[in-house]
Amino acid sequence: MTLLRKSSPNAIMILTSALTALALMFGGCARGQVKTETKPPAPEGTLEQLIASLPTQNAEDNETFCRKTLALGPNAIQQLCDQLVEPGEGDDINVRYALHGLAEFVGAPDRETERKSFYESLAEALDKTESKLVRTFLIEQMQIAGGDEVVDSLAKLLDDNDLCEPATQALVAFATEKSTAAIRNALPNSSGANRVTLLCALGTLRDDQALAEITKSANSGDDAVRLAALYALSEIGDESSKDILADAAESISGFHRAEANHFYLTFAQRLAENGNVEEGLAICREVYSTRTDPDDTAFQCAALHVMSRVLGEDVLSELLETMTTDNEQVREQAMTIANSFSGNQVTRQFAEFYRTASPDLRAGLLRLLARRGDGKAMPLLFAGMDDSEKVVRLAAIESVSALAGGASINALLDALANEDKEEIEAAKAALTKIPGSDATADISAGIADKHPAIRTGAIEVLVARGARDQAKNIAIAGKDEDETVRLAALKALGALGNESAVSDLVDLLLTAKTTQEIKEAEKALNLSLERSEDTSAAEQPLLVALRSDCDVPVRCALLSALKYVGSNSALRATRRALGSDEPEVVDAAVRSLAEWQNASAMNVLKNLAANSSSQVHRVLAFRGYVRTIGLASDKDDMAKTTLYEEAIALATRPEDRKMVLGAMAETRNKESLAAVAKYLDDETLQDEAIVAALKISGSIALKNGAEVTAVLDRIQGLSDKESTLKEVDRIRQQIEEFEDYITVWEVAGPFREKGKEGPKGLYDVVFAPEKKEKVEWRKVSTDAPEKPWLLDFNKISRATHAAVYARTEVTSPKKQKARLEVGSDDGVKVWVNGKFVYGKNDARGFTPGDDKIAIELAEGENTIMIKVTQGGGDWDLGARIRATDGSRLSGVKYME
Amino acid sequence: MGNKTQINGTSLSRRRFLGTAVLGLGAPFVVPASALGLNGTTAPSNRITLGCIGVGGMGMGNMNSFLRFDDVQVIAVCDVDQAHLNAAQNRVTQHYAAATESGSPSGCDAYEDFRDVIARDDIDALMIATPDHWHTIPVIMAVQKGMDVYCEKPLSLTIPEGRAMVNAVKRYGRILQTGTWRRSRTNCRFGCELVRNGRIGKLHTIKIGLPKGYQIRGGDFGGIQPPMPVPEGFNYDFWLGPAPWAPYTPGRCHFNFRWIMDYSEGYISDWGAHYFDVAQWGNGTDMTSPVSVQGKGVFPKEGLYDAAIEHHIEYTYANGVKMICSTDLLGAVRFEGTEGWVHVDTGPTGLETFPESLRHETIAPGEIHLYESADHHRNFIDCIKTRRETAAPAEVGHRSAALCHLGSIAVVLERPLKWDPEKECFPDDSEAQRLLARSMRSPWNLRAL
Repeated sequence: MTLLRKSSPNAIMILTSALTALALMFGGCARGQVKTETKPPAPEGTLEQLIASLPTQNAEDNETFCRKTLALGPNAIQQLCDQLVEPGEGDDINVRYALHGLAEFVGAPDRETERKSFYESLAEALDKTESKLVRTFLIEQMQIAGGDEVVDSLAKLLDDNDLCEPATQALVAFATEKSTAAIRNALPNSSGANRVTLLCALGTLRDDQALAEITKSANSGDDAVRLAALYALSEIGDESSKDILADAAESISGFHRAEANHFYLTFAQRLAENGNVEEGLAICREVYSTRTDPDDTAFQCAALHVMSRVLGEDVLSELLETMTTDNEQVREQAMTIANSFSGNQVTRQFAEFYRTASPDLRAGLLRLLARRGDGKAMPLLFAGMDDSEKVVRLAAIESVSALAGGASINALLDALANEDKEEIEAAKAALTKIPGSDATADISAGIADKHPAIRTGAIEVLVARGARDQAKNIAIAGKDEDETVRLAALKALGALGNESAVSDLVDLLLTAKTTQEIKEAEKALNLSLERSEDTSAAEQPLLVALRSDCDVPVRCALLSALKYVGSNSALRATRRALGSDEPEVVDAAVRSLAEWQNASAMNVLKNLAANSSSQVHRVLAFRGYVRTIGLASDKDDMAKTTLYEEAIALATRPEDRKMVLGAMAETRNKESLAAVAKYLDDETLQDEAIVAALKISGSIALKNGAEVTAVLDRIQGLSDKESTLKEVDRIRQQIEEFEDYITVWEVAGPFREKGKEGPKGLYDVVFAPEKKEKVEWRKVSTDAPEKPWLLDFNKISRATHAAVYARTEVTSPKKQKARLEVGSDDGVKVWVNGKFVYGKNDARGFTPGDDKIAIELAEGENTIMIKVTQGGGDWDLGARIRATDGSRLSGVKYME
Repeated sequence: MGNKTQINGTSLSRRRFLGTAVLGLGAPFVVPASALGLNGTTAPSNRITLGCIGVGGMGMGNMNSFLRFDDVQVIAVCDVDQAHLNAAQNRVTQHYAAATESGSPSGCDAYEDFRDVIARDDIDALMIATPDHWHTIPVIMAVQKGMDVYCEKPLSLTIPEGRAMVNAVKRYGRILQTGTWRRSRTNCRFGCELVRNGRIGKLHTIKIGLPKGYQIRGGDFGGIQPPMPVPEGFNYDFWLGPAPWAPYTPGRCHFNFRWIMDYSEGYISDWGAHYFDVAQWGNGTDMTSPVSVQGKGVFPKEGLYDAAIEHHIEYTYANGVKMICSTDLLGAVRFEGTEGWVHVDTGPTGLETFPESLRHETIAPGEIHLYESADHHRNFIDCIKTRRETAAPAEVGHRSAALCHLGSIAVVLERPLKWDPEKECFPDDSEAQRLLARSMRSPWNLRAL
């Protein structure tokens, strides 16, 4: 921190002419200064030495400077002022800094003696200075902390066209009797802009002693002067001004009409504050009752507001009357003001008015009462729910819970039995918003109500509240005597259920009374299983039910659910169903297998695809077979490629082959690329083969440049599609720019340290991998299709304020010098074979090859470990090894 | 200047027309379906008519946002820079010309003096995107006239100006939306809801990181700048308005004004206005301010720009929460509690948390749900129609801006300051008290409420 540039927010700079202005160099508080040549050092302890020591570098130096300077006495301040020059006339930057800093320093509490002495010196300087620009600077400093000691000097400037404004603003800031008198005394001889300035100042200071002189300007032909006078009269609030302000508010038209009316109402407020409450209110009432034109709505609103300021709560009865107006904005203003009053007495007044109010108003009042939060209004809100008018009932339903909370639950549950749909929906919405688990339990109790509509509504509200813990209670309603309730319960279980709802749902499935219920139960069962984290517990109830003597539709539903279980027992049961005499059961089994959630059904599906007597089942099974190949977690991409090739051989229809090619696009090895490439020349499959080949190429290009380039060449010869050629170009460019980037890493972390934040804070924290302690290293392949050379740590952890370590093995055919190119977001540290070789403590974005590090590779295996720090946002690493001149380094192999 | 009306002139009152006009049966002219809103468009009588004051960078952006709405019609644009004005008028005209086939309206008048816009009786609302020192006067004049206002952030240049705007809006029953659009961002709302509902335990610290230095646009204006002739078509004196007179130089005005204390407060108010606003939201202190503030800063040693280039400010709220705003902290707003933290407006999703699982939490029914708005400009228009409070109403905008101003004063004075959030004054420090307000250059005057 320095003393420099503490600009005064009060700064006013008025320059006399454009010519003067153009002579300036300028900027901020030191506007207009130019440094000149350096002088020899001044003797210690002198004013000259103190000034030369500026700028200060911290708060302590600042205080020392000020104390030492003030200790030199008033003459030193005079000397400083004497050194002020007009901007552009010399170097007084440090002098200005000094005076500005001193003004702020002496203004602090408990420095009255220093303050007075300092400003007396400034006043003396102001009196003798001729330059208006220098005087303006001195006035600005006076405004900071000056007082009566400078008033006489400022008063002399109030007739000056250039200095009246800053001098007046300083005097207003002092707001003392003496400073006010100075402005008042200057008013009679003022005119034009100066008069406007002085009138406004006297208004701001509410100087009633200037009333007579101000009044003289109230009918001035100069709009600016007249409005300034009206402003001043309104602020002073003397009753003698009433007619003048009333006439202005009435007669002034056009743009200034709003301002004149504003002054009139401000006058009313000041009048009331000065003791004449009745007259003040009379003005408000007059404005309210006469400004009824739609354009004047804001005046009516303002009149109500001023009345409320004058009367406080006592305005309420009048406010309530105004609420009967058709003007929506005025009504809203009345409501807003009324809402600001609290207490039982006010509530009682509302209640009394409510009885005779129109339906619309009753509705508005109910909402208002709910917002005010006085519990005494609760009976009114409950009564409103039974009002004969729908608009009132709706308002009561929407508002009652805000005031009554859980106590409104029973009434709102009752409202669910209303005939009007809008009211039912409003009641549901209100019930949904009531806070707390107790409220959820109370609403759940509505499931036992005697009215079916309430039981149904309560279930729907529980769904909207996401009340998973109420699934058991909802399941009971699944056996309700009323079908609507049963269906609502099944739908609710579908929305809320998980593995713990499966037993109940199987039971409900077995006892379902209608086809629709069976369908809903099946849907709920599937949704619950899909949402389950562990489906193993579902196996037993499903298989037990399947072994029971259940109807065909139920059997089909159970088979459909088994696909989520996916166990051997589930698979056996489903396979057995394939031999059923019931075609519906066989169909359900095939469909369940086709959507089996793991790869265990692969061989069954393959067999069905080849041998089923039904064309539909063969198609379904074939699609399921191809899908399950992709799910085979025990098979690597190579094995999957082999399986896909078998699938293509098995396929009898072109669309099935196309589907296999689509699935193969997800694999990432050069064998699958070769397999896909076989179909590039097959006209029926060419489009799909190109898409798959490009996708695989994009994923493997950096490690298999030659193979990919060969396929790209073929594609380029086959296709003239713009998007295809663009993708070919992109992959070629990628190979060119990013070949040899390391794509397989082992990652450890993230690591954090309490109290260490941001990338820079974590850079030097030594975590376990640096200490060679045992940590878990996870193998990670870079796989972003767009940037396969980029290791994105955010995919591993979303941690912030952390560090992560990535390591890899590089095999070199011989001992050799090389260049390791690294880019990282954020900072980075690099070790080669356990030796620290490079560090960059930075909070930077990722740029490939940002750091080019000279390293030496040993013959055989080399370990490269890189630490990357993270504050927040992106968190990346990319690295490759090149020859020392940046060219490709042959013979080096990366970890796979 | 084309289409300019005099500030004392009168024009057809739209509200008067709407209040009295009745289309008689058998009217002797054909009313197009679009005029009645029968072809899917909004009938003119249901459109909000909008005037745009200040149509440079942010103003043009805001105006474009409003042009998206079928129920809004921009009928006036205003700027002291003719180039901005022409661009805005052309933009509006072209927009409506493209829509004319579907029956949308056309006609947008251009003005140099904002008072000419406020003088019109057929404008419902104003968008004000002038520099900070030019917010208060047009806002107060507009609400006195009965207009609703969308005003850019920071709402005010000083705390008394902000209070005057709040009072005026309240007195005249107007709708005001502050341009702190993070109030309409899901990530900010959700982050604040996590804090308000205790997901990070008890909130104890809020950290706001702001950039250092300046981001200067439009040229190299670093260092001392030479005075230059005012370009033709730019009413520079009007641009300065209530601010102290200073010679013209291009680096002073458009966009870069924010680095000069006469018109703004540097990053403390430029980005601070956004982040303080989020902090207030998450802290649940929308309607109040801290009880103490202390700061220090570094200011440039020369040149045109004089706002702090580095700063460290500490605020303390009555609820015990400490808020640190510093150029040495990570960007945006971080709420720290006894059991975790929420960092709003950072990372790929605009929200980072610890523990990370907080990001996937849901706010249950009955917990604190903050004001929901998905589109800041749309919210303003909807609130004009419903008279409901906006996402960032005057008091909220004022309190957020007040944090910028308190911080700036603390950085200048470098001593602990007590603040009375009710009376909005420094109770024990008359010097700090004087720094609260700024004088206005004649003839401009804050005829405060």
